[in-house]
This record gives sequence, structure tokens and C-alpha cells, in this order.
Amino acid sequence: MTGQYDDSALLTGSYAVDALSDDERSLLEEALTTWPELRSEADSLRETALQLAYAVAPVEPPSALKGSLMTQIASTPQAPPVESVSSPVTDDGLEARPAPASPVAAASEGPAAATARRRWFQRPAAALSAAAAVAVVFLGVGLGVGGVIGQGEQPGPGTTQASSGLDRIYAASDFQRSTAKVPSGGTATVVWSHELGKSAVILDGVAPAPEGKTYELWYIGSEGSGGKISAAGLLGGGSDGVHSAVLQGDLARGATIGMTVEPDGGSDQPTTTPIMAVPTTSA
Amino acid sequence: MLALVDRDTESWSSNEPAQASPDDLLARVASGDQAAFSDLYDLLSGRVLGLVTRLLRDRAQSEEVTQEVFLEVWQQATRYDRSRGTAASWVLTMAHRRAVDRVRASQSSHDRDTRIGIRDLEAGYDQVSESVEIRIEHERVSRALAKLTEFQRQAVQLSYYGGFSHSEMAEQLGVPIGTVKTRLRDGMIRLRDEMGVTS
Repeated sequence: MTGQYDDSALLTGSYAVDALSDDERSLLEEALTTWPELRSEADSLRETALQLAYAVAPVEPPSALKGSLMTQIASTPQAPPVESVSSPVTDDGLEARPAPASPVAAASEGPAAATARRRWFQRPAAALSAAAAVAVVFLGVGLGVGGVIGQGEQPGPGTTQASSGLDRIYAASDFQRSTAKVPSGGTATVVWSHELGKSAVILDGVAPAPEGKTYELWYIGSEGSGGKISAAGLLGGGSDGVHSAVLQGDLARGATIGMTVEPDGGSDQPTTTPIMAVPTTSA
Repeated sequence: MLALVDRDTESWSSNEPAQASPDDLLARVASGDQAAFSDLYDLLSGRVLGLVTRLLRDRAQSEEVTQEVFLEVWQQATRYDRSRGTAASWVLTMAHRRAVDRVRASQSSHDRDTRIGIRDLEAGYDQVSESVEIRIEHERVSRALAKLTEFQRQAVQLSYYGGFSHSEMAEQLGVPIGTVKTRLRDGMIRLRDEMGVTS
């Protein structure tokens, strides 16, 4: 046993409660790979720290946080198992961290958004009843989590359809997102960038449209621009998975993004109650 | 009597499958299972946000950290080594470390005073929790902490609940850094043995 062993052994308690500096932690972690008995002491003290964590009263996160996360993981690749890693990573897999989400002022749902939403419900052309309004649930618009997290984050390759268009939206400097619950189950997340004039919808856990039907996306212009409704493409959806589509056409300022169930092939104007309507606000 | 019968009925009528453990769920998350991730989140997110909020106080920041933690859980699940400890401990270790990083990044050590830390810890510790389960956990930890020396207990609480590094504690408590390290190690070992934790 050497002096280095003794020095390291002294640090296991501090390690378990994160009292070490980064440098000390690196040194200790190296020592842990050398001395199994140190490793097992450190591990057991970590488990002990868990008991300290369990003595703290839990705080339930808002549901929008989960919605936002589920969308995020759908487009985030997982790290390869540690043996095959070539990039700089770590010893115990706890170190490699994604860049922290930059704190950015959250967009709040202003009067304009509220107006856009009302208009969507009230439009006679869209054949919407008051009951339809009740069926649509808005969630996460302008909540801290919805607006802040994910800012500047690039989704990984290959997990969603239309990922190239999505990538550009996620990478835009004015990227914004909003998640709504779909009444029949699952969530719909709308991401957009006014700079690009593009938006996309990501469905997570939303059941496929019934036989002979399809989901159709819509741009609903703001009141100021005449409130025109334009078809923005169809969104196929299989069961369970995550499906995304970049909307066709350009996103105008203040537009609301909606989704309805339409007969196969889609319609020129919405014929049913929207199952989602999300106003886009300016950053 | 009735309550006992009810309880029995409940456990026999298994409409819902038995709840999977965090360890099993994390293993499934490692193979890209999003439903397992959703379940794991449901099991642990309250714990994570509770712990992070304890350290950071600020609710919005704590939610942000919670999101970062679970994103990291998703990304790093492939590297979780079951032989090193439980999934819950793996997740809460990540949460704790991130919260500590935030605390240290946002406050210079001069702004942070261990005396305030100690006062806050005591206030927080007396907080009445509504959940019986949490009260029991609280009690267990409380009893085990009571077996530590005062200095050991102070070091463990300041670092774990306050996010103080051992150099900060050494400076503010006016003791050599080696003393803080020893208190933390002896304190944690004592706590482990008192609580019967095995790894």
C-alpha cells in the first residue's frame, strides 16, 4: 500500500457526497480502477448517500416537463456502450454530460396567442363547436420548461422522420417549442423558428388515425392577416412510436398550428374538431 | 380487520402488472425503450426534483436541472453498470452532482456561509412531510445521523444537503482540509453501518 492509496482512501466519503473538486475526483476515480477494495467502499458509500437523498421530501415536477423530455429523448441518440467509445468519456459513465441548456427567457403566452387560439375555436369555417373548444388542451405554452429547455440542442440523427428539416428548426437561433396533450392520449409538440419560417409537429404516443382517416396539419393565420387556414401536409402515425413532420408552406408571424383528423388523402379545409391547436409566439 | 382484507384483495387483484424496479427499467432504457424511460421517470422524478430543490432552492432552476438529469439518464443508460450499485443511486448521484455544480457555479464561496448552511439544514430537517413513507425514511436517517459525532454529522449535512466542497468547509470551519476529509469518510462509513447499507 502506498501513500497514493492512503490519500485516495481518505476521499471516498467526500466522493460519495460530492465534496471533491473536479481534480480530486479525477484522481480518485483513477485510483478506484486500481484498487477494487476502494471501489467497493466508494460504491457502498454512494448507496448510503442514496439514503440521505430519500430523506428529502419529493417534489412532483409539472407534467409539461415530462412531455418535453419525452419529445427530447425521441430525437436524442444514446451513448454507445463504454467499451466501444472513441470520444472522450469517462470512467464510470457519469461524467459525459450534454451541454447544459442555456437559460433563456421563456416565451410567455401573450394576448396575441390567446387571440389566435380563440379564433381557431370560433371560426365558423372550421365548423367548430363550443364542445370542440373543450376538447383541446393547451399545455406548456410558455412554461419555463417548454420555452427554455432544448434551446440550441441538436437532435441526433435518424430517429425521426423528416429529421433534416427538424434539425434546421432545432438549430435555429430563435427555436421555440410548445407541447400539448392530445385528448385521446399522448402528446403533440410543436417546434418552430420564425427566422426560418418553418415549423414541425412531433407526436409521441398518439394512436394512429382511425381506418380510412389521416392526421392533417394546418396553418391558421393570425387575425391581423385575415385568419386564412392553409393545409400544411399530412402526418402519418403508427402506434406507440414518435412521428414527426415538417409543415409544408411557410410559418407566418402569429400563426396557430393545428391538427385534425381528415379522410384519407386530406381535405382542403378542416372538417373536424382539432385535436391540437398551438399558437406560435415570437421569440 | 376490514383494512387488512382490503389490502389482501388489492394485492391479489392484479389488473396492473407488478411495478418494475428502477434497475429493470434502466436496463430496458439502455436498449432504447421509451416506455421504460417514461416509467422510470414516474418513479424517480419526484425524488430527483426534491433533492435538487433542496440544494438549489430555486424552483425554475431545479426543474431545468431535473430535465438535464433525465436527458443524461437516457443518453448514458447504456453505460450503467449494475454491479456498481442500484439504478436509483445512479440517477440520484447524477442529480446530486449536477445540483452541486450549479450551486458552486452560481455562488462564489464568499457568498456562502456554512453558518447559514447549518441553520438552513436544521430548519429543513424539521420540515413536516405529509408522506408516511418519507417520514419513516426521515426517521431512519435521523436516527442514524444521531449516531455520528457532531462534527461528522455537520460535515455530511453541509456537503450533501448544502453542496459545500471540503475546501469550503475547511476554510469556514477553520479546520485543516484533511480533518474534513476524515470526518466525511468516518461519518459516511458510520452512517452506512448504522443503516445496514450493502452494496
